[in-house]
Amino acid sequence: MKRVLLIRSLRDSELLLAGCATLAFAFTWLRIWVASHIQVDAFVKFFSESFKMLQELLPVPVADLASPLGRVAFSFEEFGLVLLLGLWTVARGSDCLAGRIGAGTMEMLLAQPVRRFTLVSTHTLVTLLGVIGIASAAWAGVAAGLRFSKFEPPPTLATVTPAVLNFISLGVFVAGAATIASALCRTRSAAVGAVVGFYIVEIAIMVVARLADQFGWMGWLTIFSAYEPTMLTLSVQRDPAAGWTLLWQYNGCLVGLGALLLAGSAAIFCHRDVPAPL
Amino acid sequence: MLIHADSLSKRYGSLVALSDCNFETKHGEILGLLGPNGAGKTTLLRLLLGYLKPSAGRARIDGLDCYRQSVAVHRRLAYLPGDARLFRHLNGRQTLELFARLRREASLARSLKIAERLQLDLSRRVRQMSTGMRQKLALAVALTPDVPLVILDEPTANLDPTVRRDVAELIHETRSEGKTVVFSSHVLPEVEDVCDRVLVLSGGRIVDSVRVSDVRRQHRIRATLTGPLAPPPASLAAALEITHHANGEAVIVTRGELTPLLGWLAEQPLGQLQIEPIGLRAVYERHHRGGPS
Repeated sequence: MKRVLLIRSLRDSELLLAGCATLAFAFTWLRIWVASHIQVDAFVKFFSESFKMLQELLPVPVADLASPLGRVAFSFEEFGLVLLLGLWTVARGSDCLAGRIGAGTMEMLLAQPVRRFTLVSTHTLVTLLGVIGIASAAWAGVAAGLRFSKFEPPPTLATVTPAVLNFISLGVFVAGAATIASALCRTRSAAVGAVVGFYIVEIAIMVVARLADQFGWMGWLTIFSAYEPTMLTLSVQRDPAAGWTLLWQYNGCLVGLGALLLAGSAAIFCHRDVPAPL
Repeated sequence: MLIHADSLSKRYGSLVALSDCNFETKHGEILGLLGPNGAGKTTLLRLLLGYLKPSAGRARIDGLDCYRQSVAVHRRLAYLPGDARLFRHLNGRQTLELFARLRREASLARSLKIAERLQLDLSRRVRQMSTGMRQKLALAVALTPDVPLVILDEPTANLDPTVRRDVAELIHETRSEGKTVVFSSHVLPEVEDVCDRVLVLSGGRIVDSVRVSDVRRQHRIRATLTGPLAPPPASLAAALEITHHANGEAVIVTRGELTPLLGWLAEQPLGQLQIEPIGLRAVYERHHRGGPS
């Protein structure tokens, strides 16, 4: 693998990564600090009695969600944090092939004695390191949030590990989806459109599957069924042996599919025609 | 032979971009590709670079298959795209450093020397450069590696006449180092000045292959006849094409040297004699209606 390409790829996106990581850190810190200040008992009672249907959408029962660990782990299901992860992975994944072909830089890079696989793998490696970086920043935000929280007693940082691992696994999957869209599409905008469309459809399927029992089977069609950071964190807390097994199953599903998509992207790019830039 | 194309073809569904293309180039030759837009020049270059998979036939560079052994092929060539686009956030020097580090055959010192010759401001970021400056920077990248083959796709597009002259000099120097240059352009005088041999493409086919030195020897002689022309000597007849027009004008096209013909011409009843070199334009117009610049 060419070190110079790896460094170039890292430098190309250092600002985006720094921005996403900083926001992830600030978001989780602030969210946990705020969550620790809210009196949830009355809210749990009200929610349990008045919005029974909406409870179906929650990853765990309301009472579990209201526990300190539930509230901390739920940070990883917040739209803001998932959006940051999506921003990084979709921006990087879509740029990997369609972006660089469209921008014309691929034309110059491919003329050098560098394997196409090397071009994909260096870019992808930086994307995955970025996913870990954002997850680490979010984890650091959790640590800071717990440090200043009003939880009595606060959950330990280690208990949030399952949520962080599940978050990283989701990043691997989305990176794979964005990269394969980039390998198949001619333009970056088409690749971004394809991934965002896929994301929205998957969320819609998840909502339908959770809301109506007769559509429960649709849960198998959405990748978000394997993204359950709160449920997995609480499961590991209650029964570590069973919880970790479940965690590896969920993460295995996300990472396995992500790795398949990344391998597929590399295979497609290594054999496809490279058109002239638009 | 450095490049060997054998029945090379590229189709996109029913669209034929390049069909049954056969040619070879020798070491140290400057080969021009001439043709209008859509003639297949860029497709041919992209097939040589291994960017496209041939629909039929194959191309080899130094005996290596251009598509299957593209990395080994790229060790033997440097390429300048027609519309060179570089990393916009890098400055000129960083761009040269990046490409110099990407291959063993390149050297930053040589890049900087070429850049200086092209009067490039290397402190400026690519996104702040004009199209011409970006083209010059890409040219410095392409001419740096010490490789046997240099492929230039319209290298002088967007350049001013002074820099065009510098580029032509650089190409000649590249050839004098024993390298082969494949050069695609729309500009006929430039191709004529720079190339040793020219492939004329039309509709995805190579329709002609001419040596520029042969073309330079050819002349068109126009004159008004004041009497009947005497038959040319047998030794010259084969190299002449004589056309009589109704208005009393005769057009004589020579295929060889002009000098032996001058004695015979002086004895003919000709008035208003005009002798002009045919040049590539005539070759081009033979295959395409209306010429380029």
